[in-house]
Amino acid sequence: MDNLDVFESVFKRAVRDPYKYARPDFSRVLMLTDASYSQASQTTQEWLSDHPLFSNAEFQKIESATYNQWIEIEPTIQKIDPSLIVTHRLLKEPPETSKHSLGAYLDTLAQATDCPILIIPNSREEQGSMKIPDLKSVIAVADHLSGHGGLVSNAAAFTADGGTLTLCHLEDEDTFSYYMDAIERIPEINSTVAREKIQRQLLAKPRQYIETVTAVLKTDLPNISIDSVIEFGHLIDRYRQAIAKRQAGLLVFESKDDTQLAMHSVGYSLAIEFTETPLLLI
Amino acid sequence: MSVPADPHIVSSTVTFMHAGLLAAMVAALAFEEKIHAQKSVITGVAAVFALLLGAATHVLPESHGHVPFYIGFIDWGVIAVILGSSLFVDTATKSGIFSWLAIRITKMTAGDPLKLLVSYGVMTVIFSALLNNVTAMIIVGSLTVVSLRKLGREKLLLGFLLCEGLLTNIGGLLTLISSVPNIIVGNTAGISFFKFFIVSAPFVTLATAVTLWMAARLFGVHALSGEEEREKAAALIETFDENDGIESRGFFIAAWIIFGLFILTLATTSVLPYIRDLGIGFVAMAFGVMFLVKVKSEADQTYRNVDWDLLLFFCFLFIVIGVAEHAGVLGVIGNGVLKLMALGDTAGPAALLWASSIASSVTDNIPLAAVLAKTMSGITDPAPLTSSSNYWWAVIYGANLGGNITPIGSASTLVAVTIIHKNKLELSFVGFVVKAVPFALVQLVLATIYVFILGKI
Repeated sequence: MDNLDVFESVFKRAVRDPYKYARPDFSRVLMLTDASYSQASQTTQEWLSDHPLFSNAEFQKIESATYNQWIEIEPTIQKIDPSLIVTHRLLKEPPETSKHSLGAYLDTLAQATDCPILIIPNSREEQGSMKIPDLKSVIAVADHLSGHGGLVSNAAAFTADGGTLTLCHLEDEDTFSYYMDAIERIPEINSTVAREKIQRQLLAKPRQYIETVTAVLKTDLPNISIDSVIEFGHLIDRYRQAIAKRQAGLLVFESKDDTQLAMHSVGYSLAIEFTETPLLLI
Repeated sequence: MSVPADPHIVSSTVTFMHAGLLAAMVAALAFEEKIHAQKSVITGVAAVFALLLGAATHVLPESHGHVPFYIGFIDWGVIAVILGSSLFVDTATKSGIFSWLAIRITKMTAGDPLKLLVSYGVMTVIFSALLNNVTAMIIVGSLTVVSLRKLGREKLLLGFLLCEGLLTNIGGLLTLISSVPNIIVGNTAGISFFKFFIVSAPFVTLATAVTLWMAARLFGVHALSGEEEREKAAALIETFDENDGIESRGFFIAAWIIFGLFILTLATTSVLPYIRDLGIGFVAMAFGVMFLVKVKSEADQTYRNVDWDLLLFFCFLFIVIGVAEHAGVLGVIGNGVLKLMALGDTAGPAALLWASSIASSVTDNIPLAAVLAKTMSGITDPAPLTSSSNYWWAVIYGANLGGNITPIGSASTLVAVTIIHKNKLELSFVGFVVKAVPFALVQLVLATIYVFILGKI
C-alpha cells in the first residue's frame, strides 16, 4: 500500500492554508501604566491617536494609584473588555529588577486576556521618554507561520504606507538535529534522503503560505511590501539578525494559544531579549 | 458441443488429484489475508507441487530445445501488458498528470458534495479504464479523504469510498487493459482494444449512472442549498493547488503527450501496420520504456515500484493452469461450462455470467478468468467461439462485477476497504456485503440484459 501513502501525501501537500486579510478592530484601547510610565503612556496615546487604525478608538486608562495586585485590576479589565491593551514592561516592579523580564503583571496579562497587547519600550530611568516606533518596518514572527492569519493581519495593519512587512518562519536547527539523530539510527530510513526531503517540506509550507498572503495583501494593502525570512537556524540568533538588519519598528508574535504554550516558546525569548523594540503580542 | 480430447489418456484419479491442488490454491487465494501470504507465494507453492505431481503422474509434455516446457505455459502477452502498463503508470504518476487532473476536477465542483460524488465517480471509472482499477482507487480514494476532510464532510467518507470501490470494477470493464480478466479473456478471444471499448462503453455509462444515483440516495449525498454554504465550500476547495505535484513542467507536458499517444495507439493497434503484429503487449512495453527514458537516471526506482508479486503470481498461475490442462482438469471444468452453454442462447450466457460473478466474489477473479478463457478457447464443437460470442462477455462481466459483492472479490475493493479502515471508519466484511449487494445485484441484472442484447446483435 505504499502508493496509497504516496497519493495521500501528494494531495495533502496540495492543500494550501487560506488567508484573508481582516483589519483589526481597536475600538476600545486600554492604557495600563504605573507611576514610572505615566508620561510615556500619555505620549503613546497621542501617537496611537494619530494612527489610522485608532481613528475611532476610545481610550481608557488604569493608573498606578488604582492597583497594587493583579486581582485588583482584573475585574476592571474584564469590564472594559478592551480590544487592545497598551502597556510597558516591569509594571510596579522594583527598580533593581532585571530588564530582561516582562514582569509579573505582563506575564499574567499575556495569558489571562484574549486581546492583543502592545508593549511600548522605554527606559524607566528616563521618566516620560518614549521612542516613537518606526512602523516602516514590521516583523511578524511565528514558530509555525502557516495558517496564522490573525498574526499576519495585525502585523500588516500596523505597517505604515510605503513600509515593509517581514514574515518570519524559522525552523529550529537544534530540534531538527535532535530528530535527525534519531532517524539516523533507524536502518530502514535513508537518512540523507530523509534530511533533504524533511528540510524541504518544512520550509515549503510557510513558503506557500507567504505566497498566498502576498497575493492577498497586494490587493488589500497595496501600499506595503512583503518580505520573508524562511530558513533553518538557531532561533534567537537568526531573529536577532533579521531584526537588526531590517531595523524593525515593531515585532509581532503570538502569545496565546489553547495550550498556553506560546509564551514559553520563541515568543517569550524574543520578548525578554528585545527590550528596545516595541512588541505586539497577539 | 465438446472440448477437444486430451492427447494423453489421463485417469480420473490423476485428474481428481490435480483438481484438488487447483481447488486448494484457489481456496488459499480466497484467504490470502488470513494466511498472511502474498499471491505469488501461494501460486508459487502450487506451481511447484503441480509440476512435481505432474511429473509423478506422467501427464507433462517434454521440453523442446533449451526452453523448459513449463516456461511455455506462461502467457507472455499478458505479462508484457501488465509489466509495460506498470512501468508506464508508475512513471506517468510521477509526472503529476493524474494528481493535477484530479485536483482540477475537484475544484470544478466548488466543493458541492453531490457534484463531488459524480465527479469522483466518473473519474474513478475513467482512471480504472485507462490505468488499472487499483491505481484508480488509490488516486481517487486518497483525494476523497483529503477533500472531504477539508470540507468538514467526514460523515460522507464511507459512502464515497464504497461507491468509488464499486465503480472501479465498472470502470474496469471499459477497455481491454482496464482489468486483468479483460486482458486474459480479451487476448484469448481475439477482441481488439477498439472493439472492446465500443462494446463496453454503453454498459459502463449506464451502470455508472445507476450506481451514482443509488449511492447519492442510499448514502444521503445532497447538493448544497444555501448561498453562504456554497461560498464557504468553494473557498475551502479553492485552497487546493493542482500545480503542487508537478516537479518539472517539461516532464508534465511530455507525460500528457505520451499518455495521449498511448491511448491512441492502443485504440488503433489492430489497424496499425507492424504494431498490429506485435500486439498490445508490445504497445504497453514500448510506452513503458519511452517513459523510462524520461527517468533514465532513476529507472531503478521505477523497477522497485513494479508489482513483482502480481507478475510472479501470473507466471506461477499460468504454470499451474498449464499442468491442470494436461491433467484433464480443464476438460472437466469445460464440461461444466458446456452444460451452462447448453442452456441455450438466452439462459446460457446469463448462467455463465452469474456463475462467474459468484465464483469471483469469493476468490480472485484472475484464476477464474484464466481457467475459463483457456477452457472456452478449447471448445471446437459445433464450432470454436468467435470473438463476437457473448459467452466471452458473460465471463468478462461476471468476473469483474462479482468483485462488487464482497470486499475480497477484487483488489480494488480491497484497497477501498483498506482506505476506509485507515481512516478509522467501521466496516466489517458483512457490513460491506450488506451495503454492496444492492449495487451488485442491480449491476448484474443490467449486465445480464446487456449480454443478452449483445447475443442478438
